[in-house]
Amino acid sequence: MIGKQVRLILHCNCEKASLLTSESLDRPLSFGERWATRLHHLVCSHCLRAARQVRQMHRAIARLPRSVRYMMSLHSCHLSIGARKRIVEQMRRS
Amino acid sequence: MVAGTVESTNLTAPSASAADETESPDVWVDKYGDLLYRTALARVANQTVAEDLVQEAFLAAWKGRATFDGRSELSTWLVAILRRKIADHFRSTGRSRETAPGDDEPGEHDLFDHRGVWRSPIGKLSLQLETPLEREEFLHVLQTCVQELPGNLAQAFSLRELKSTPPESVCEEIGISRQNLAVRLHRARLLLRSCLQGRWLGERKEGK
Repeated sequence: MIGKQVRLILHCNCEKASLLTSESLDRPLSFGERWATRLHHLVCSHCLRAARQVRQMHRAIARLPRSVRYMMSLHSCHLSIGARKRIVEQMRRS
Repeated sequence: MVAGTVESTNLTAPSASAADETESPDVWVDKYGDLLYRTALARVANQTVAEDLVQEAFLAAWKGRATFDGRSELSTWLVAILRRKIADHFRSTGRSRETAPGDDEPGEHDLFDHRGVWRSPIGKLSLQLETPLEREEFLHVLQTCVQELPGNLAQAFSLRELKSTPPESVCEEIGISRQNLAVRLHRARLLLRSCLQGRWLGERKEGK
C-alpha cells in the first residue's frame, strides 16, 4: 500500500498530474494522489498553470445559472428542434 | 417536444396492420429522437455527423416500416438500423472509429507526448469574470467550445459539469466505467481550456 503511494508520487508525469487534477473535481483524491500532484506542481509550472485554469473554469461554469447551463447542455444530449423538424419533413416527403 | 403539427398525422398513408401511433413521423422522432441521437453521439466525431446519421436512420426505417414485424420493440429496431448506418459511415470514411479518443488507452496523443509531457505550452487564461459583458462573452465562447468537443466528450462533460450529475450517475447513463469517465472528462476539460484560451479570453487579458 505504502509502496504504491510512493510509486505514484515518484512516477507522476504531466499527463498523470493533469488527470488527477481533473479527477479532484469529481472525487476526493487519496493521500498519495494529492501529494503526487502537489510535488509535481512544484517542479512543473505548466502543470500548475493548467491546473489553476481548469479549476477556475470549473468554478466559472458552476457559477452560471442552472437554467443557462441546462440550455447549453441540451445540444449535446438532445436532438435539436431544428433537426427534429428537418427529419420529420423528410420522412413525410419520402 | 413534438416538432411539427398534429393534424399532419392524418396525411400519412394509413397502413393496414400498424396502429396510428407507430405511423406518424412526429411520434417516431419525438419518442426516439433523443435515444438515437445519443447512440450516434457516442460513436462519431461531432453533433452534425450524429444528426445526419439519425436522419438517415429515421428515413430508412420510415421507408421500410412495412418490414417491421413488431416482434421486437420499435426502439430496438430503430437502434439496429442506426448502427448499420454508423457502420456504413465508418466504412465510407475508411476508419473503424472516428473519435472515442477518450476511450483508447494512451488516447491523449494530441495533448501529451509519449512520455506524458505537454505537447504545447500552457498559455495564459484568466476567467475572472468581473463585468456583465465578460460574463456574456464567456457564455458565448463556452457554448462554441462545448459544441466543438467530440460527441462522446461533449456528452460526458454536459452531464457532469452543465447538469451537475454525480459521476456515478453519469457512468450509468452513458454506460461507461468510472475510469473511462475520468479519462473523458479530463480530455474534455483540457480541450475546453485550450479552446477558451484560443478564443479571446486568454489573449484579451494578456494584452491588458
